[in-house]
Amino acid sequence: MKTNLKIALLALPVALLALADDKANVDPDLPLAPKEKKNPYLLKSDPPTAIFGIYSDLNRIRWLTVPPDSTKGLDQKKCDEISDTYIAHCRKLAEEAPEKDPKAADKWAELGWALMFRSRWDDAIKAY
Amino acid sequence: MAVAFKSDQQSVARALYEIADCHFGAGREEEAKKTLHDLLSRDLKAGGWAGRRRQTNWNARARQALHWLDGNSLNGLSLPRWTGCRAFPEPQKSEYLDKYTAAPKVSVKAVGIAPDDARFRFFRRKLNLRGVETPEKGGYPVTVALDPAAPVDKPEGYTLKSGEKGAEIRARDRQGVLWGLVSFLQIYDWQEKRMRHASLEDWPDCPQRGYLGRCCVDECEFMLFNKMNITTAKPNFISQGIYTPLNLYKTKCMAKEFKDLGLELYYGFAPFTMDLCWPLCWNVFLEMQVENAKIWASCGVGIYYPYDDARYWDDVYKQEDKDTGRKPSDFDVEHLLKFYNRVKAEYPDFKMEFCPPFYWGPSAGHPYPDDRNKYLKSLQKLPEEVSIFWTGERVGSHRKNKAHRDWYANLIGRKPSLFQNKAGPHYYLSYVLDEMPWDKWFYPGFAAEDMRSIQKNSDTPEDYPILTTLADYLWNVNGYDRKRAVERGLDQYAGKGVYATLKPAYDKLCQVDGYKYGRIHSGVLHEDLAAWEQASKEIHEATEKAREIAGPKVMRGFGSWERAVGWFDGVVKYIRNPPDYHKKYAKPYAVLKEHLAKDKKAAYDESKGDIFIDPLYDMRGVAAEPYPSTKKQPILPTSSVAACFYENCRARFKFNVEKVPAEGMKLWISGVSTGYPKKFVVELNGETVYDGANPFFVRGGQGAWTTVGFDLPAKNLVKGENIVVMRNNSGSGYPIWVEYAIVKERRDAAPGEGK
Repeated sequence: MKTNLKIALLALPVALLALADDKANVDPDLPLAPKEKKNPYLLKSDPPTAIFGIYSDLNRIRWLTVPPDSTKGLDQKKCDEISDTYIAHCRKLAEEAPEKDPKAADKWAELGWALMFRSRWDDAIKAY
Repeated sequence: MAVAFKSDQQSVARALYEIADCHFGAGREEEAKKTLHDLLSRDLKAGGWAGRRRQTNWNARARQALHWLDGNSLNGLSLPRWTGCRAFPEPQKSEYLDKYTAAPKVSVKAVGIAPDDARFRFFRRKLNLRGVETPEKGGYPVTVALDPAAPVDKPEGYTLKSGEKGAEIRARDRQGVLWGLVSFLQIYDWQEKRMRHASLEDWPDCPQRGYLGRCCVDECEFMLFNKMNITTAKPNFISQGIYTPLNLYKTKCMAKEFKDLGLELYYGFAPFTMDLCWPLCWNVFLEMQVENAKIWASCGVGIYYPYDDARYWDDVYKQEDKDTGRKPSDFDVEHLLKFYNRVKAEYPDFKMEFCPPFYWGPSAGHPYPDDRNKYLKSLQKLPEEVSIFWTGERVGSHRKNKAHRDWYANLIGRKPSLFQNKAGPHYYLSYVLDEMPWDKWFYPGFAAEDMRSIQKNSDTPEDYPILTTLADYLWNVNGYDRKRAVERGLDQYAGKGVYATLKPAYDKLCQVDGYKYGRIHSGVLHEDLAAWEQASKEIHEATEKAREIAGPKVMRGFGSWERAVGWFDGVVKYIRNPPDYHKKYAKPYAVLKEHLAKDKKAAYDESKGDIFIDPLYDMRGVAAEPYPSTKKQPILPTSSVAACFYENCRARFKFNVEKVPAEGMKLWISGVSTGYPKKFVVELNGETVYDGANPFFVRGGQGAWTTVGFDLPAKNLVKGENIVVMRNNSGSGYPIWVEYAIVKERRDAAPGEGK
């Protein structure tokens, strides 16, 4: 669980903040969204709820990455992008873990869970 | 090495469980089952503590899933274990004969109700699992009639008559049918496979009877045999929105059991309400809640929406005030209405319980920056079917008062639902055999007329034994018998003879209450080691015997019994090797001696035969520990005449007198009172020598040590050993701390002199 938390702590801020600010795909000359439109709780905590794993984190983050007065959460495509980023991150950590690392299994398990979240059942089983 | 090994087992267990989850998600149920069985067969150490974090117990999760996957629904506890061929809870009217009719086969004839109703499926299943055949015709006939003209004209009421030629159950509603069938299963003699002749006319007094628990797979079966009909699983399979295939499956299976049998099941929604601390004026808060609640409702569970202790934390309400100029008492109800109506529109069977921030009162105040009455009154806008919790006069109050209940009910515009906190008599825990004073706590008419539901805040399955007593009380308020309730409830749950086996050990186990969990005090200096060791031996023997009867599953977390036994052994260890308090509290003792030297009232003079009573070594109190340090006061060893958990809490000490002085003696006590205990009593050899106001409390001077003198009249003194008892009768939780006492011959003041 400790590893899970670490992975989540490492991965989610990167993925989320990149997405929230849309820096990766946005023309730097375009003005940024007004700051007050951002959800203050997203920036206040680190990350907002990266405690219970990808399921509950994404469940909440889809509502925290949109302005508070929105009636809809983050659209599915962007959610998938977040979880894809997270899957890639988990895969990297797992593949780079030394074979004898006692926590390597946790890293592969975290990848498995991330794949399970996307209903990629057989890919997940392979990861485990 | 040990850590790595443990970590590996945990990882393997997690991987296997989640592989099973994936198989299940892919529709490969058999593969999922196989994997879960594989996980359990490895006997891995999964769960427990890793540092300060509790690791997930994957074995428990696997057992939960297999409970339904393996078709063990409603039989995990194998209830009823033992009933003595009597219904439980105690029926309103019952007559049992010592006559039986052989019934190795039982056939059911349904009248006015579908023969494949879930109630009959449950009934047949229980019979079949114990080798009783249930053919369509033949065998011992049971006629079950859902009949608007049935004799008992009360909700959930039924009659059951069993005799030579068969049995008949008649009820005006489906729940009456259910309870009639359950009573049949309780009266049936499972050993001899025969039916006892009996006549029951029965109904519950309290309309909704249950508890808030922890979402065990056996909740429904437990409730059925205790005739309860509502439960709230605070943590649950989908608490954090972790909607994996197996979590959703477990939730749906559990919900189906309840729904099919007409029982109410709520899941705690706290992770999506106050735990988040999102401002209520955010649209996304409502949208997020509605989206999740619809998933929950689609599984078939109702929602317990707590918005209580954290409502005014984290300054969220300040932001709301800033953004909207409104307080929670202005707009919480609007949010709740929108939430409820939107979920209800899509799921008409959706139900909701709500716990407001102001869930107690009226006498106990509240710390929140809002108008309590206005908030509670605003809840009148909620539909009548939304249940609203109340804990009583205080958060943890036991006795209920009609005026308090009426105050709350009038404000919220409906009957409240009771959220009974802290009911366990042993520092809020239960030791299984406690004879619960529900009849003392609840005034007449409270359960039967004034409340919508009564639920005890519980840890399940640990609290199952104590819950059986509540079930017995709520079903038949006037017929409640504390001892009978615990004895019969326990034997039905754990097996024949468990009560009798544990009762002598229970009486001994309770003496450990002198030591609050984890807090050893100087009482260990005064205990009889041989008696404690003997008691420990007897408790362990009784526990083992009970384990043989009840089995490991029931004994696991058995009403905090094993926890208490562990603590009992811990105390024995300290009695065997008590701490050296003079060494441990060397600095506080030095301060005490300074106080003593400066104490002109007591004027202690050892050379004149004055007797010094050491707070730890000479006094025996409930919690003799160092008085907590404050800026004004240093830490001191003290004997506490505390009232935190006991009524009439006391401390006592002994002193010897060679010759009783004609003018009596004087007792000086240096004490401090941090709160408001009103009364203080001093007894000498069983006679009261002081019974009056608490003399240690100085208004405006809390924390100041005060020396007070008390007369010890000659007529009450005896040559040899004398015993002084100090009592604090406030019973309210505020202690009086005693630093030391001095007993001396009267050389100074006139009789009756005080401080």
